Amino acid sequence: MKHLIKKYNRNDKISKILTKGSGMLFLLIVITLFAVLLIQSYPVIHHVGILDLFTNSAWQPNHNHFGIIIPLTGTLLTTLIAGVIAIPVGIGTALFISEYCPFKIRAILSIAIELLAAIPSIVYGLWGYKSLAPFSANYIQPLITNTLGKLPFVGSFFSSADAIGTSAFVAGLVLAIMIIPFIASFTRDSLNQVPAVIRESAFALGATHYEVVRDVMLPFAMRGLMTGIIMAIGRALGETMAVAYVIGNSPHWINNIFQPFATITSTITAEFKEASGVHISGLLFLALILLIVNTITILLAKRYANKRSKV
Amino acid sequence: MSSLHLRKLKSFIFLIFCLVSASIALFFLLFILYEVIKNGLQAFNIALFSEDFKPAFLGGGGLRHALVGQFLMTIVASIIGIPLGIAGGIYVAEYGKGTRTAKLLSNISDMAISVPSIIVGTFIFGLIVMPFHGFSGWAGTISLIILLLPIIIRSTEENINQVSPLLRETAYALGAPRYLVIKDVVLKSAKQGIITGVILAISRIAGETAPLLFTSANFSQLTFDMSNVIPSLTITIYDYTNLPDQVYLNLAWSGSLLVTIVILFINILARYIFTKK
Repeated sequence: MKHLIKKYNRNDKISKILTKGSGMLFLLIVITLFAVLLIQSYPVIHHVGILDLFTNSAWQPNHNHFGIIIPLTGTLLTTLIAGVIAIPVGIGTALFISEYCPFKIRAILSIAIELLAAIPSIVYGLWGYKSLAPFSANYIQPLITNTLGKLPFVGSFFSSADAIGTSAFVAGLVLAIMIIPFIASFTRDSLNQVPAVIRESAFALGATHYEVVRDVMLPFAMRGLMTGIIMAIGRALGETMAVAYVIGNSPHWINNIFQPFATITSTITAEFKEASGVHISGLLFLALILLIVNTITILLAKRYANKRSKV
Repeated sequence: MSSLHLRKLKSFIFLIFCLVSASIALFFLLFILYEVIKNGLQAFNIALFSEDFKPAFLGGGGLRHALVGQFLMTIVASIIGIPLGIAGGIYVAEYGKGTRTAKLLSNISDMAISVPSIIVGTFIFGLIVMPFHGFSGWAGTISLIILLLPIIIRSTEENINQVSPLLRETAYALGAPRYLVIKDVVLKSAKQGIITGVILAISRIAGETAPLLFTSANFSQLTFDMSNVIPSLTITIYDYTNLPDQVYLNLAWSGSLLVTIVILFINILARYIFTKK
């Protein structure tokens, strides 16, 4: 008996040490990640100065210009385009699935949307480059040029006669298609949490379908919905391969969204292999900036998720 | 128009909005599947699996070297990452439960899941590739392990937390030591969920490109040497797209079809295991 207890205690200690060790290893990796990016960014900070990195609007590694404004703007612009398209479409899709869709095709549609999320980004990239970019240049670009492009003041930003294919807009569109399933499944899950009694009571009071969704369903599901949207935006910010394929990676200011542009990820992808010395440090600094922007986004999402719902 | 009509009209417009949204989502899903299948089938034959890279005048060869490389890195990363991740998850949900370290680990893992994979690639580049002056299969594998760990830690933690406390307490009451309770009771009842989490985690790293770009780089021949550059299917797809010959573009499409089939298969498998009673 004593022998057995001894054995138990020993094994318990061993398994505790092993599991704790694994956990600590991962914490160590995360700390090292921040440390390595910081240390490797130092040469470029030392070389051109921290102020220049944030204020110089030129990214020309050959001339020692490492201004992050253009890649950062590219990342934010493509994410914005993606959000403007994907948020209404994603929410609309989720509402269609959970409110209007005939029961028989509901499951199929649900699974189809989730499969769309599982397709690897390299496939989105190749498809975006070879199929979506020509499709966009032929159909979507003229459509936007003839509608939004006619607006006063801002119109020129949405209109272009050249159909280059690779552009900031196509990058945003591919990102939108990648995050639609994300937003849709988050929205659907939070809509499913709404108690059926509340929904049915609203119908019983004579509300139309739209009013039920607007005044009952959406306020109730708002917290989960916002979390999903912010998480999706975080994904769009850091997406690499799909954007690298279709943005054309040109780190110069653009006059309209149908011109090639550059993002943080496309710059890193395009330049890493040929880079050396300070240039590498500059690219790692870009990675650090992306990590910071992304971390802030996720923290925001977590704050939303933890907030008490008002309803 | 009476107010009732107006309300009904609004509701109808809303229905149209939802219908259009779902149609757009479905349209792009069918568009991408159609293009990948149509273009992917052009070079989808035995040579795709049996031949390595060949010059264009010899037909371009197949993707065997890339398939083997990607498979090798994914498998090795899984063999190392899965036990580490499950162990970390057990620590968070069992031995460390309630401690600050465990909470920190849980929160950090949760955040790490959403970190862009290219950042992990640049990190391993700065940590391993740059100091040791060389791309290697190991560097790529380590990147994949880092992507794998947080997903498995979190899913293990969540599945263990769902195990009924009654079961656990019964086992303790029978005099079982903690490690046996974890091994024979907790892990056994959380098995289904943990396996699903593991499979989904593998499906996430199996199609990754960005973390391999600057770690394992790419190579045109079959190799099993993890300490040197090693080809991967995803980077090969990327590189082949930019080659001037159409044969390579066809191979890139076939590679895309292949990776899509594999990932979708793994996902459906995970779904099947999860819903099976």
